[in-house]
Amino acid sequence: MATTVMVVDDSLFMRKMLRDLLEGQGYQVVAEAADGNEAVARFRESSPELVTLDIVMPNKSGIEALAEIMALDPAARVVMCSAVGQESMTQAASEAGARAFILKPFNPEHVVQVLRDVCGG
Amino acid sequence: MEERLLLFTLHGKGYAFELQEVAEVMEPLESYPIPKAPPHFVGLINFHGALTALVDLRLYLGQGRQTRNQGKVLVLDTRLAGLALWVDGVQSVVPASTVLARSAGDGGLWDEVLETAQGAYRLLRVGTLLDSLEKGLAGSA
Amino acid sequence: MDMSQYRSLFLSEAREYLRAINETVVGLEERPEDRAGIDTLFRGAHSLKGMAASMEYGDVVEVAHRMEDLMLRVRDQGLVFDSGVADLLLEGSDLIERMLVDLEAGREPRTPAGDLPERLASYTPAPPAPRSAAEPVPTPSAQPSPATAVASAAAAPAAAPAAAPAAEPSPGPAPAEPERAKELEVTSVRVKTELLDHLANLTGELITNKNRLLSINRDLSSPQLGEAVGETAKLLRALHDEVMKVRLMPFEAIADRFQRSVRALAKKSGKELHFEIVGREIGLDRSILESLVDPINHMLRNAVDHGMEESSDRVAAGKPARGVVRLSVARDRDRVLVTVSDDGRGMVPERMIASAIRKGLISPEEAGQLSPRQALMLSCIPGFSTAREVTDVSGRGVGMDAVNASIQKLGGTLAIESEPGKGTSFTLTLPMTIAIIHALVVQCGPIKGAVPVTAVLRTFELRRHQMATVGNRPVFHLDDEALPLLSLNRALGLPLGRFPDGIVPLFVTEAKGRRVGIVVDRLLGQHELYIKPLGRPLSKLPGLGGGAVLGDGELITLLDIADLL
Repeated sequence: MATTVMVVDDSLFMRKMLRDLLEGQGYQVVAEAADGNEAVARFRESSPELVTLDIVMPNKSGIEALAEIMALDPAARVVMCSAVGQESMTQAASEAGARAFILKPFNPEHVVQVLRDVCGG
Repeated sequence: MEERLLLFTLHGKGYAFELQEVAEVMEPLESYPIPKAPPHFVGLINFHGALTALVDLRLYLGQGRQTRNQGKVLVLDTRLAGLALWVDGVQSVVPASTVLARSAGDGGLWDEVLETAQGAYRLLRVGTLLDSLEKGLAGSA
Repeated sequence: MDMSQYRSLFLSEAREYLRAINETVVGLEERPEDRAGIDTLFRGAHSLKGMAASMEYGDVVEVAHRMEDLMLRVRDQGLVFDSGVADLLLEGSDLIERMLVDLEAGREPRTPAGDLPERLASYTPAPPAPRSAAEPVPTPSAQPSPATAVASAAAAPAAAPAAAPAAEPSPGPAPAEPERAKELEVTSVRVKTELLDHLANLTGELITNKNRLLSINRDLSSPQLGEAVGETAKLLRALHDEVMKVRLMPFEAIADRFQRSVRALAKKSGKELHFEIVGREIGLDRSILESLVDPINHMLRNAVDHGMEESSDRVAAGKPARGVVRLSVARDRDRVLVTVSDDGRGMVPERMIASAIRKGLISPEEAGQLSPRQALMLSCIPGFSTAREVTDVSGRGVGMDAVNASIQKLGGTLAIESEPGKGTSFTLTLPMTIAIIHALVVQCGPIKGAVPVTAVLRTFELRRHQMATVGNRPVFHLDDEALPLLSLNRALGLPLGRFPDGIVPLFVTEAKGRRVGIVVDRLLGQHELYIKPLGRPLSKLPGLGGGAVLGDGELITLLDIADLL
C-alpha cells in the first residue's frame, strides 16, 4: 500500500511540484490544502499518514496548524517546509512535534531521503 | 506533397491560385447585401457558418458584371480570409511542375504570370488580393 | 527534475502574487496600520521568492527576497509603511513583471535589477516633511528627496483621518482576496481561453440552428415539433447562460491597474485624493473587460486632472481638502454599469454650450434646443476640446469622443451627470456578455441590419404632424428635448424611404454624445443573434460590427450607428 500524503502550501505551483515529486516516488497524495485552516480540516477528513506543511501561509500559519494537527493525532507525521532564514521557526516547530524539515527550493533527492526516514521511523 | 494549382477563367483570360489557398469551389448561391460596400461586393454568403464576402471578380477587374446564376464561386482559405470570388469557370487542378516558365506579374493584383502548355495564367495570391480589396474599403467610409 | 513543465504555472501564479502585492500596497498607503495587508505583502514576496528559487530564476529571487526583508522590517521591527516603502515595493513588482515577460518569451531577463535590491535593503524613512497645516500641497519639483515627494496621493497617515473622515474606506477587501483565490484553486480547474471561445461558438451555432427550426415550423405548424423546439430553446438558453458565466471574469482582474494609474496621476498633479473601487466582484465577459481598460483610464485621467480642484480651492469652497474619485461597477439585470465619479468642480452646461458654439460645432439655434443633459454630452463630440485647454472647464472632454466611440463598439452607452461645484459622474452601460446579443432588426431598402438593443433607447412610429423643423433640419420632441431626425437610408447611401401611410418608423439612440432619432424603412422586431466576426476584408469596412444568421437563414450585419452617421 502506498503511503498517503497531504501537501499543504499556499502556492499552487509548490503544491503541484511536490505532488508530482511524491507521486513519482510512489506516494499517494490524498489531499491538498492552501492555508492552515484548510490543512486542519483536510487532515481531519483524510487522515493522511504523512503531511508536508508550509510555514508561511495566510489565515493560519503552518506552526499554528501543526499544533492543531498534533492535538488531533499526537502520532501524526508532519514534515515542515521552510525557507532559508526561518531558523527561529524551525525551533518552534520541532518543539510542537514536527518530525523533520525540508528546505525550499526543494532538492528532490533530499526531499525523498527525508520523507523515507520519517516513514521508516 | 507537391504544390498544385487551381486554374480558372475570367473574361477569356486564365488565372490561377495555389490550391492550398482555396477552401472550396461552389455553385453560385444566395447572398445578402452588405451596407456601404462597393458594388463588386455582391453580398454575404454563409460558408459552413462562416460569414464570407462574395466579390464579383469580373466587376472588380473592370470587366463588367457577372451574369446571375452562372460561373463558379471560389471560397478562399478561411484561416486567411472571409472571402469568396465569383469567377467564370474552373478549368482544372494541375501540379506546379506543369508550369514551363514564370515571369513577373503586373505589380498589382497578380504576382506572377505562369506559362503552361495550355497557355498563360495569372497567379493570384490571397494576401495581395486582400490588401487590394481592403484599401478600397477603408476609403468608402 | 525537469522544471520547464512548471513554467506556465509559475508565470500565472507569480502574476497573481504581483497583482495582490500591487493592490495591497495601494490599500496600505491609506491605512498603513492594517496588519492583514502587511502580512499579505510579506507572504506575497516570500512565496514569489520560493517559487522563483525552485525555477532557478535567480534575478527574480533576489528582488523578491529584498522585498520580503523590507516587509519583515515593517512587520516585526516597527518600520512605518510610508510612501517610500510603497514606491520601492511597486518598483520591485514592476521589475519582476518585466522579468516574467522575458522568461515567458524563453529568454534571460534583460532588465537588470540595478540598484533596486540595494535600495530595498537600505531603505530608511526620510524625516517628516516640514509641512504646516496652512501650507498648500507641495509640488513634486519643490521637494528635494524622492522619498518624501508628495505624500498626497493617498495622504500622509497623520493628516488623513482629520482631513476627510467621511472618505475613509471601509475595511478593504483587498488583503483578504489573495487568500480567497487560493482556496478556490483547490476545487477548480484551469481552462485555456481558446476552449472557452470554442464553447461559446458552439453554443452560438446551436442557437442559430434552433432559430432555423423555429422558422421551419412556422411553415409546418407541427405542435409536437413546436413543443420540442420550445424545450430545446429553454435548454439552450440555460446552456448559453452557463457558458457565458464561465467566460465572465471579475472586474477585479483589471482593477489593479486603475489603482496604479490614479496613484500616479495624483502624484503628478500634486492633488490630494482618495480613490476607491467598488464592485470588484462583478463579472464581465473577458473580451469586454479587455476593451474597457483604455476608456476607464481616460475617464479617470479626466477626473483627476480636470474634475478635481486643487486642495486650496476645495477648502475655500467649503469642501474637504481631500477629493474622492470613485470607480464603481454594478450589475443591472443583464447589463453592467461602470461609473467613474468625482466630487470635484463639476461641469457647467452653459459654458459647454458657449464653447461648442465658439468652435462652430453647433449653431446658436441648435444650442437653444439643447437640454442641460445634451449640453454635457457635447463633450463627446470630436473636436470639442483639445489638449491645449486642459485647464479650462471644457477641457473635461479630452478624449471623451474616443471613449464614447469605443463604448458604442461594445454595444454600450455613455451617460454624463454633473452638478456644478458638486462633481461629475460618467456612467457606461454595457452588455455583460458579447457574443450573443439582443438586437433590433431594421430594414432599409434591400438591406437588413441589426442594432444592439443596448444602443436603442426607444422605438417610435411617428406621424408626420409630430415632426418639426429647426433651422431646416427635421426634429421631433421627446421628453421636452428636440431630437434631430436622421435617415439610416442616407447614412447607408440608399434612396430615402417613402412613407405613403404617413407613419415614420424610427428608433432613438445616442450618437456623438446626443440623442437622435434614426429613421428606417421598417422596424422588424427584436432578435436573439449570435454575432460572428467578419474576417478580412470586410472587417476593414467602417460601420459594421460583425454579422449573424437569422432563423430563416438570411444573413444580417450588425450596424455601428455612431460609425455610420
